[in-house]
Amino acid sequence: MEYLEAERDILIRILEVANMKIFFQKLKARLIGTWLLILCSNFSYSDLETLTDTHLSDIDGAGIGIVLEDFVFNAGETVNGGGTFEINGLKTSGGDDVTIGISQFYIAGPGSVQGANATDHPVNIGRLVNPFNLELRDGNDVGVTDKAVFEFSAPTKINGSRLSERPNMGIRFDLDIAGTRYQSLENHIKSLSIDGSYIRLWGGNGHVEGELALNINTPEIQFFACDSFGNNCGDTVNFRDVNIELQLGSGEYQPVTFEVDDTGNFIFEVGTLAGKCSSVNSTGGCSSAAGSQDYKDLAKYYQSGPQSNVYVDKVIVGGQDFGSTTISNLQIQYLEVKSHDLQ
Amino acid sequence: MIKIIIIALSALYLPCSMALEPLGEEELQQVLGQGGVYLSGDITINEAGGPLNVETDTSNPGVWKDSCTTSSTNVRCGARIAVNAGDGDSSGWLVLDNIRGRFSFEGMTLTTRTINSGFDNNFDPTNTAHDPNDAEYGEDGVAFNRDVLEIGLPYTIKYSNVSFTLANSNFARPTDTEVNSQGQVIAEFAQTDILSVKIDGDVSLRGNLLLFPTGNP
Repeated sequence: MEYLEAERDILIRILEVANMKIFFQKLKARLIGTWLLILCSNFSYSDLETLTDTHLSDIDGAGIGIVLEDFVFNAGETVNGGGTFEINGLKTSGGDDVTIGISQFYIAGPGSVQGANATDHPVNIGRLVNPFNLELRDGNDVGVTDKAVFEFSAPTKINGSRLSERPNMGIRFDLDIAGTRYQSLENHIKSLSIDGSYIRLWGGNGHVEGELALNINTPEIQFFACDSFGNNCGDTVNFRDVNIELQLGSGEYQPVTFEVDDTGNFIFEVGTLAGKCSSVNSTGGCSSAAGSQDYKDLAKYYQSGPQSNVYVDKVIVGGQDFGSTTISNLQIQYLEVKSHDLQ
Repeated sequence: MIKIIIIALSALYLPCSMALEPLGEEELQQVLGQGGVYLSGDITINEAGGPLNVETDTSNPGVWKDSCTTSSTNVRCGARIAVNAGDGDSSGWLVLDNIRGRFSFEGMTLTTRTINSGFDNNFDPTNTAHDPNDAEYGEDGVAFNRDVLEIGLPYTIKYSNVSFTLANSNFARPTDTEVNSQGQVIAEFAQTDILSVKIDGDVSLRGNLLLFPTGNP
C-alpha cells in the first residue's frame, strides 16, 4: 500500500509539473501575443494621436504668404511692339466717343526712369519675413462676433518693405475724342509702399460686408501733360513725401458695403452711426447714461475708431512751392456713393 | 499548437508593422522631387460667336444663333459673370460682361524651391559697399530658410482682341424680366456700362510668384 501511495504521489507531482509546464507555455504564448498586439497597436495608432487643448491652443491663424520676386509688369500701346490697350465708355457733352488709349502702364523697380527702362529693373514686392498675406481670421479678434473673416493684408509696418521692395509705377495715356488724338497725360509714382493696408470681408445677412485700410507712402507723385505724341511736356504737378492713411469702416459696428441696386446702379456705403445711441437729445447728442453699453461703444468709436490722415510735405506746381498740406483725424461717420446713368 | 499560434501572430504582426513603418529623416532626404512643371497655355473665349442662351426658341437650341464679331453690339454676345453682393431681390448685379478674345502664354513654371540666402536690400548689384550687419540690408533669405511654392510668371502674355465690359445691371441675365402675379412684365432688363477695356498686343509679366504658409502651423 505504501508503495502504491508513493507511486500515486509521484504521479500527481508529475501531472502537476506537466500542468505547470502547460500553464507556463500558455502564459508565454499569451505574453508573446499581447506583446505583438501592443507593438502592432503602437504602430497603428502612432499617427492618430489625439490633439489636446494645449496643442490646439498653440495653433496660430496660419495663412498663405505671397511675395513677388524680380517682378516686372509692362503693357501698353507704345511698348512690346505696339498694340491696342483702350478704355471706352466715356462720351463728351456733344455725344462724341472718348477713348482712353493707354500708351504704357508699368510696375517695376528703382531705376526704371518713368517707365523708359522698366523691363530691366525688376522689383521684389513683399518681404519673405513680412509678406502679403491671405488668411481667414477669427472675427472676435477684429470686431465681428462669431464669424470667420477673410483678410488680405499687405506687409505690416513693423519691419516693413525696404527700399528695394518698393515699386515704381506709372501710367501714360492719351485722350482720343471722335478718333482724333488730343493730349497725352502722364502719372508716375516713385517707390510706393502700401505697408499696413488690408481688406477684410465677411458675410452679413445675405450680403458682403467689409472693412478697409489703405496706407500709401511715396516720396513723389508726378502729373504732367504732353502733346499727342508724348513730347513737349508741360509743367509738372509734384506731390512730395505723400503719406495717406485711410481707414473705412469698423468691424460690424460700422460695415462697408458695395452693392448694386435694382435699377442697375452701384452703391458704395460706409455704415451710418445713426441709431447707435438709444437716447438722442434735442441737439443730436447721445444722452444715454454714461455707463450704458451704447454710450460706451460710441465713446470707444470716437476715441479709437477708424480715422484717416493725409500728409503732403510739398506741393510743387511748375517749380513753384505751394507748401505742405495736412489733414488729420478725419472720421467718416457715414458715406454713400451712388452711380446714376446719364442717358 | 503554440507554434501555430506564434506563427499566426507573427504573420499578423509583419504586415501591420511594415505598412506603418515611419520614414527616417535620412531616408526622406534621399527622396528627390521632379524638377517642376512647365506650362504653356492658349485660351480663346467667344472670339467669333457664342452660346446665346435663348430658352424660348425650342426649334433652335440657342447656339451660334447670331453673329458675335467684335463689332457686334448684341447684348447677349460674349461671356458674362454676374455677382450679387446685396440683399436678394431688391438688389442688382455687378457684371463683367462681353468677355471675349484670346490669351496665350508660354513658359509658366511651377516648382518648389528652398530659400536660405539672398533677398537683401541691395537693389543695385554693383553696390557692394553696404554694411552686411545693417538691418536694412540684412538677408531675409537666411532668416527665412524654408521651402516655397514658386510660380514662374510667363515672360510675355499675348492678348488677341481681348475685351470686356465692367457694368451694373438689375438682373443677372439680359433675357431676365420681372413679372407680377398676373404675368405682366413690370421691370425690363437694364444695364449701366461703366467702362469697356480692349487689349490687343503683348504684355510683359516677369518674375516669380512665391507662395508659402505663414503663421505658426
